[in-house]
Amino acid sequence: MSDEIVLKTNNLHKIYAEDSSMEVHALKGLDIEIKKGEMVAIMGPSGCGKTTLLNLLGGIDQPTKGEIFIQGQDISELADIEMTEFRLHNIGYIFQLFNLFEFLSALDNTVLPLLLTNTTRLEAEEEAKMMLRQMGLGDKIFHLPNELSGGEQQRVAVSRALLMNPAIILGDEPTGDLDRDTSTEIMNLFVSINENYQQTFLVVTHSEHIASFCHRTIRIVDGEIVDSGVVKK
Amino acid sequence: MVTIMNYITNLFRKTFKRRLGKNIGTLIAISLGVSLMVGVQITITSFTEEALDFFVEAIGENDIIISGFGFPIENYSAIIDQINSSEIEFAAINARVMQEVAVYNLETGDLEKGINVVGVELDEDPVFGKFYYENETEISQSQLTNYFTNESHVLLGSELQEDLNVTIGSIIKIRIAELNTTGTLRYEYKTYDMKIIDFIGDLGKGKQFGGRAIWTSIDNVRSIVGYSSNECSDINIALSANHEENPIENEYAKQVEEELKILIDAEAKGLIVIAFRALILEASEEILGDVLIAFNLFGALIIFAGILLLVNIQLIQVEDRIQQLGILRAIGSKRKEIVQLFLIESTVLGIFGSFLGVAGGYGMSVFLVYQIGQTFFEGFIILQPTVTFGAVTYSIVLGLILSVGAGVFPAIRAARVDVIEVIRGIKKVKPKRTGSFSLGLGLTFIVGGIGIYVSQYLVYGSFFVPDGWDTSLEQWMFMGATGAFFIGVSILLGYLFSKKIMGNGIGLTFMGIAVVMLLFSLPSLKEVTENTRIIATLAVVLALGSIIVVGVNLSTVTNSLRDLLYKTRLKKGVSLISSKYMTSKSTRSTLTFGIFALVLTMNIFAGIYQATYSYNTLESAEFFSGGAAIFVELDTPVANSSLVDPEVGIKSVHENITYVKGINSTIVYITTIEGYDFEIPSEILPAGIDLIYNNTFKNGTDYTFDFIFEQSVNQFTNEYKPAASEAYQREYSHTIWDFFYNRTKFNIDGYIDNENGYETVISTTPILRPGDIFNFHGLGPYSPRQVMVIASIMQYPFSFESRLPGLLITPDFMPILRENFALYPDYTRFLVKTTEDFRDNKNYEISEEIEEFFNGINSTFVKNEDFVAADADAYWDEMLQLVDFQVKTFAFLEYFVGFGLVVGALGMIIIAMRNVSERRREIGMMRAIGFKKRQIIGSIMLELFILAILGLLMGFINSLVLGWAFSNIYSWRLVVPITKLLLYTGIMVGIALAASILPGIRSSQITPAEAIRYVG
Repeated sequence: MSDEIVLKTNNLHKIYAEDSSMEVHALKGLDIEIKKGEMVAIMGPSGCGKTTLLNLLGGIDQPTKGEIFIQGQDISELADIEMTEFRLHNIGYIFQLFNLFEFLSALDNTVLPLLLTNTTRLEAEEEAKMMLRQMGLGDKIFHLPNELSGGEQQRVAVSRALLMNPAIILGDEPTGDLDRDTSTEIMNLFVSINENYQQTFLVVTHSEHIASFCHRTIRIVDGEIVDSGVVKK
Repeated sequence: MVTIMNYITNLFRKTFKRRLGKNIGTLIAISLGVSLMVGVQITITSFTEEALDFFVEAIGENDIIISGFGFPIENYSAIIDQINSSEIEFAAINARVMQEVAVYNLETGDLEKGINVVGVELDEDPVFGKFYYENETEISQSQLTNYFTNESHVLLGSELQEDLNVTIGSIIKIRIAELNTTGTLRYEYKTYDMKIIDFIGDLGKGKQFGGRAIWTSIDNVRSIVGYSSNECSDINIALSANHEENPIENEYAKQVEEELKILIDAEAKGLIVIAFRALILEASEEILGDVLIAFNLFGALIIFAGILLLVNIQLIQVEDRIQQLGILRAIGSKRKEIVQLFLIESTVLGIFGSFLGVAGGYGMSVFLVYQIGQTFFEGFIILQPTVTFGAVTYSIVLGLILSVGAGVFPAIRAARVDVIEVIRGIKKVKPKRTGSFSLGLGLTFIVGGIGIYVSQYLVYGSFFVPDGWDTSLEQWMFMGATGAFFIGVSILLGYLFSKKIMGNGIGLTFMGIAVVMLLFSLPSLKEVTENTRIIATLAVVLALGSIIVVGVNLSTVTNSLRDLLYKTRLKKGVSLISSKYMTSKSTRSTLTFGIFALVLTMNIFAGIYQATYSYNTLESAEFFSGGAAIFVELDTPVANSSLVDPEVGIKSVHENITYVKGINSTIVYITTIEGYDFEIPSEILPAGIDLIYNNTFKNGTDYTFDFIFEQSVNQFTNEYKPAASEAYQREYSHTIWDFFYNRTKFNIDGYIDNENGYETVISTTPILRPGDIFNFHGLGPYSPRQVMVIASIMQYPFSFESRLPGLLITPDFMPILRENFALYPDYTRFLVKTTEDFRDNKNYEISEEIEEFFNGINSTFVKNEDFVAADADAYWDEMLQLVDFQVKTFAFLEYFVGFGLVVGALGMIIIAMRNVSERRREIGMMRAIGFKKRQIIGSIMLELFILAILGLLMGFINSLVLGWAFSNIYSWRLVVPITKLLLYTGIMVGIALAASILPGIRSSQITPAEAIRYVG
């Protein structure tokens, strides 16, 4: 872990409102700092704003107020097209439901983001195959998601997130659909990637067990941080 | 059980409301599909009914005509008495004296040909129509008596008012034939002045003969044409006073015709009895039949496209609720209940969709029927869509059946949803091969196929006949048997190896049958009209086969396309997603592509056929014209040839006219002989004949006019090479001419048999074909002669304008034609050679000058009051008009199919919009990964675009195969209109882009944060 700040938020607010009487203040002035190579868990009860926070940090939703800096870039000011480009190169996403394209093979699912860049198809596929081999899926690169186990599907999702060498990987309950053993296996994979590549992770979870793999846990209740956590040595 | 059913019903009711937007989309798609079917139906019905009305309106309520065929019926009142006292039931009977004349307005120089001067009994039965003024008030009998006191006073059909540029009081000049009974029976032609005393409106008698008639009393016409008071030219019999309310069956009318012939001893008196109305109806149905084949073929394919649209949308209705269906199955609902519920939904949507579709179809038919009027009736008649209560009910029921029917397959698919797959979000690997059921099914097909082969052999004594089948039914049986056999084999292969092999087998069976038939059998199928029927079937079979093959191999096709797209500037991710989306929903993609493939096959084929037809017709025009650059036809012979000899006169018109040959021409009638059936619309038909002497076309051994035969009897056909050189064709034709001039006889099989064979004639119209045997009658009490058509010239110049069968005969028929030539004693037809280039417009100018020579206000004929109405036409110009009519016809068919294309495109928009809704979650994922909005739009548009282009490609291939088949049948050179096809490609690209824009934009509006959590 270095002292370089990868992600920082200032006074981050999110209000959902159809009209003023239906206003929901989901996030209430959050200030977060995450350093490069850090693994951070975000915990809190259902409806506390964890996923909202993740969507804002990933740039797929806009904050009502406040700033978000990733690699020093204020993403809350970026136009949609710039944000998309920024997300492609700097943010990796892993979802609870794996969110793989069911009609694409493991290889095609993994290679997809790289195909959106100027990398040639052959180079992109080579990189993706290498990544899948590193994830232990070397013999299943042409399998469709429904031909893979839950753990294998999540490893494909991790491969896809890692392939672009992002500044940060955001995980929304990444083991929520997996049993305890597979969850442990996935989290060990995260830890191994974190240690070997200094990859920064921000993981939203309900599970203390999952949080225990992270360096620090931020706890949110009713849209406010109640505990920024202490970095575990 | 009841609780669960209630729960499900309740759930569906709620989702029906929640999915209102989607249901409206489905409703529109159903109504569009039904619109196509209804539109096609109404258009075809309207065309048939309006065209028939057009044909029969001019004859009023007449059923049967007894005619002297140009000569007077003597002592006609005795004949009427005879009929009155017979057991024949009829509504009314009349007697008239009629003659077809040319009418001249000397003040303005306007000339109209083919006008009927009709003399009626003033107390004629009102069943035959009353006289009305143009303001629709009836003209009383006393007024008529008053009007016609003066012999030259006439009432004029209002149609003629404008054409002749006349007003009340105008004097018109007619040229009419007067019977000369002294000495040799002969008609003398004279001019006669008539004064217009009023115009009659288009009611009652005014609508007869299309309003193009001059009316006066029967006594006046008798006096003008030299008939005695007990003579008339026609006796008309109405079997019903109102055919609309009490129609008369054609068969009944023909039966009365036979009874009358015996009753009045028609043959001995030289009278012709014809069930005229039945003849017109049957003949028009025959003519319409050919047009309707094209309409029905195109219509069937459009309807097929509509069905594909319906199945597609119903399939989407199921697929985007898979999750709900899985849950329903999990909580205990039975498959049968799910099928029922989907069918209820289909029915509700089908009912509303069908009602909307009837309205849409009516709108479509308004445009198409208007175009029919413009194309086939040159705008003379403004047609209205014919919508009957029965047709509306039929359309709604048909729409309902089809939309519910189209929902059956998706409903069954819904019922077969795998609960575990849905609940766990996985997909089980499906077995590669088909189940054991297919073993029995495959064997059944094979046995069925062999059964049809055997039946064909037993019924027709044929199997595969490379020399050509006799009938389309025989060939259909062979196709059905072959199809069933190979489909059976394919199903067995599916059981033994894989479903993919089965799909390919079935698709290739369809394509193979079509291609093999086109290659080996069509060119030699004996009847050209039968060929059309077969080719219509093969077009459908080919299109279906190509859709199946592409559908089964969609993943291979899309992978190749993806690799191709990778090489373009498009983002590779967009190409990957689009191509894989297509493959993941292969049934739906195939249906989408199928709609375009079907519609485009027809559209492109119409374009190719039109270009091929036009090119070959024009290219061969000079070859077939026989060297007659101009042909002239007079309505009556020149009365005083000492004034001007017409042959010499025509030659003097222009210095570039090198040769003029006159032809004696008249009208005969032919009747069928029992046991010698061939396709003519009636047992009795009038026919135009030209008398050909040894020197008519020949000058010594050289041919001055050298007409080429297109078909001939077996004696010559067996060694005939249709695609051989021009010199060969001429030599082949000259051989046949020699046999014709030498009066060689041929037997029923078409071989020389001077002892027992038939005398020969040559056919100049497609109605009579080589090998046809019939009775040839002259006027008067002469025995008919049995003759056989030895060969046919299809582009004889005088055939262009004639709707009658045309024959060439030699002078040995004169003994039975004496009275015919009393009607037309001198030349009425002339062939003209010029030094001008055949395709030069100069020939047209010369033809105009020839008409002026006969008809012009300064013409010697007109000045001497011996005018004849002449039609002079340049052959090349006629061919251009002929081609133009065909082009218009095909342009109309393109409108017809164009509706299919537009509706297909609208359907595509709805389907693509539904696809976008269904893929919200995936679109959200794409956005999260880093797809820009424009890349999302691109992937949606690209998918639809590729499917449209695939359809276009299949349309091209299928059309080329069909076009090639057609050109092969007629030994034509295949012409591919590149510019037109590029235009189609442009239109198609435009439609695909337009159809994909809306769904593309909709997809880009999906917010990723919501979409990721969307579960449908």
